[in-house]
Amino acid sequence: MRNHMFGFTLQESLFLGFCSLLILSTKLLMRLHLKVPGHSMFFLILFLMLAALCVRKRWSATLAAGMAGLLGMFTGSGKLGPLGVVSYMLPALVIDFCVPFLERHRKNLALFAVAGLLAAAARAPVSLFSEWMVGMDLQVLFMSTAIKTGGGMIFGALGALPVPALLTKLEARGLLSAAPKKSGAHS
Amino acid sequence: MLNGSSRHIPRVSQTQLILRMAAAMTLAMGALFWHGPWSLTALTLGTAALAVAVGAHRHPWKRLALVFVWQVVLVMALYLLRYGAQSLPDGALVAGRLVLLVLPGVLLMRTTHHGEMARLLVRVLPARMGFVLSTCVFFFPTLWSVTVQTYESQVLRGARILPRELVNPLNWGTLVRVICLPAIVSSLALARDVALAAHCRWYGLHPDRTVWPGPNPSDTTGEPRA
Repeated sequence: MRNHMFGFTLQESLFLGFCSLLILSTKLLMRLHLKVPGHSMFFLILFLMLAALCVRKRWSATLAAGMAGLLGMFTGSGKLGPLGVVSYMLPALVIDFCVPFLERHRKNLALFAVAGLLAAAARAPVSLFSEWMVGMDLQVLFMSTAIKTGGGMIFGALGALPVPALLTKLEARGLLSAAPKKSGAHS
Repeated sequence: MLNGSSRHIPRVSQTQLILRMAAAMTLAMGALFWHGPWSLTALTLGTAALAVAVGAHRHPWKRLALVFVWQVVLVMALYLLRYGAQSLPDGALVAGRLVLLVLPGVLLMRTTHHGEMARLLVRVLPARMGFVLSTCVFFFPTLWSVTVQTYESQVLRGARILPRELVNPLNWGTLVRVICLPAIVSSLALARDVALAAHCRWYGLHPDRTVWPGPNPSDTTGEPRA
């Protein structure tokens, strides 16, 4: 299989595109039914982690998030416009950074939860920056960001928890190629 | 399902769209960086002019208003809690500026046909990225119908994944196990099939764009053309 774009084959980039569409559609659906703040983080973190750990290449989560941001701009689901792309990319960058650790410690659920927590918290700078530039009082600014991000962090950690079990199931049925880094992790 | 409602959105030319995007970007940047004495008045008038120009009054605006009510209420409640009632005007100003930051982009997205936006973006994006995005959007209904079938079957089987049961986050584990895992499996299989079909037609043989079977249908030798 040859390189299609950014070092990904056509199959991998299509899979990442489908993951980004699943993120968008679950976000649209859940907004109709639930009114809990931050719950969209659950599926964002779940699908981004699955994308990164299924493809097993650097920047795979970031590519999926970039596509989700672009498609979100097509469909008008994001209310932030161009800042929406950044708000998808920041959690994905954290996940891409964490993937080598997560692959080495696949049994450690706490590590996955912490990675989900950190990835969800990575969205805070977008809201912090825009509200600070608008001229909001600093104490109010921190409180409002804490309210917005806190719920997202809890749901992000919850979204990361089922990932190892899902990966084990996918590998057991031969849907993923055998993990290439397992031999490296031994040494 | 991704194109939202079936409301009629008038088509605009690409130049008009670029002008609208530039205006919306300028207004949003103004709300962020311009804090002069008349800035709020000018920005409000500018946003109102943009709303009239894009024909926002012809679109459903109640849901749009609800998006902002939560933001305004949160900011004003926090100001009230922290500094008391005398700080409410300050809170209102900050909340107004936040609305002015987000509103131009939302107006533009709501009033532009997503096909127009896609055409503009595909013109800017590299061809291979454009191919992947359009193929994903084209095949997504297939994936979605499989997921909906899985959902219906699981509901009939007795899985606790009805919308009213999903209010309880304890049932989300079931949702992940019986809906998300099959969705991932289907998307892996669909991506493999689509990529195989494209490779069978020699897609990606040349570094530039290829078409199959070629511009002349009578000459179907299967030779890819640049």
